[in-house]
Amino acid sequence: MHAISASEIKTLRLSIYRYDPLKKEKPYMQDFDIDIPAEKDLMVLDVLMLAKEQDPSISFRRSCREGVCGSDGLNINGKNGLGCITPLSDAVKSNKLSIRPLPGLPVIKDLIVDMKQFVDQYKKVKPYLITDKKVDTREAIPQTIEEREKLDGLYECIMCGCCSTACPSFWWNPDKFLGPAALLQAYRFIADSRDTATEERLEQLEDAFSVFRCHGIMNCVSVCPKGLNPTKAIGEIKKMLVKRAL
Amino acid sequence: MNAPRYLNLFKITLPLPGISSILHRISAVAIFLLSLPMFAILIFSLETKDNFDFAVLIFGNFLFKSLFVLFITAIFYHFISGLRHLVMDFGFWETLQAGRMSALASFILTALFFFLFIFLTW
Ligand code: SF4
Ligand code: SF4
Ligand code: FES
Repeated sequence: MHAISASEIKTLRLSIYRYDPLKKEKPYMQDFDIDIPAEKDLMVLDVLMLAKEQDPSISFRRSCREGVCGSDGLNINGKNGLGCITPLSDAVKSNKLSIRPLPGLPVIKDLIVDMKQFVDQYKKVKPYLITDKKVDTREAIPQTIEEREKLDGLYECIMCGCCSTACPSFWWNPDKFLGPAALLQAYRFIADSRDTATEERLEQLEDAFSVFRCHGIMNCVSVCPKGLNPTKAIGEIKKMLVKRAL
Repeated sequence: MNAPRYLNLFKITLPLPGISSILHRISAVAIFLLSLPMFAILIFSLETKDNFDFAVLIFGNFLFKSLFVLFITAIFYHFISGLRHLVMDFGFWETLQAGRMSALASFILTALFFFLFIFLTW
């Protein structure tokens, strides 16, 4: 590998949230100076990898490195996002980059959080197609183009958890409020013309917490790396629930 | 296992609609707390002419006057921001852009109201 000459590199001040359950220490921020090529716009994940070369004990999740798998949801300079598709030019402010775990969830180690609460809420909305017995699911169930279009902006979620962990309502009630990600999926199946359990799905959501704890704060919308709009989906569910009650 | 949770509200970026929502709550608490002394003074002042004169005196006090302005401003903000939430409940302004604009509008309106109110009553 050829060495980079001094004019081509700049030094980034990186600060990483560290926590090791085996040590009896409180979480703390560890600082690193990372040399990065001046011309290239690296991704936040690249910088984490460079830091890991300095200190191999830094722990974080990642897999696809292209915004598809949803493993590397992080709190990047205060805003949730995927490390692998957040360029430094978007994230870095005055040459500083602070990386912390997704807010509100129990930290297992460093930047790795326990996603159980998030996944439990996802399970609750039965994120799969439910059809009448009459329908033979081995056959294709046809949909019109219009019916299929209703699922755009709903099915693309990669379960990264950036939205729910940016949502104040989810921070305060992670067990009772389903959170934006689960609610987006709830609506994805409510809106699906092939699903026949719409009534049961709505019934499950009508309590005071599951949906109605959402106060339209829109943190979810502002962080979703896929550009999805859970607030709108939640609004649709609320409308259907109100119509149903009248 | 006693795992820590990361939640530092001063370090986590809140977009405008988030700030608007939190202020909505704070204003509710402020209205509730301030309404008790405000109503107490109102009832007291309506009893006799002397009481009324005394209440007027109280409101001459800078601190009390400021609290009163705060109280009315909080009511105004709570009302405006409540309207904004209602509109959103009806399914409008649900994009981030619209959410930002309407939050900003509610802040500006409140600021205008605040200065107008001070201008008219001080
Ligand atoms: S709009 Fe609703 S779900 Fe999204 S962050 Fe706000 S409260 Fe949470
Ligand atoms: S809605 Fe967006 S932010 Fe939320 S889990 Fe899905 S992809 Fe991630
Ligand atoms: S590594 Fe897969 S989404 Fe970032």
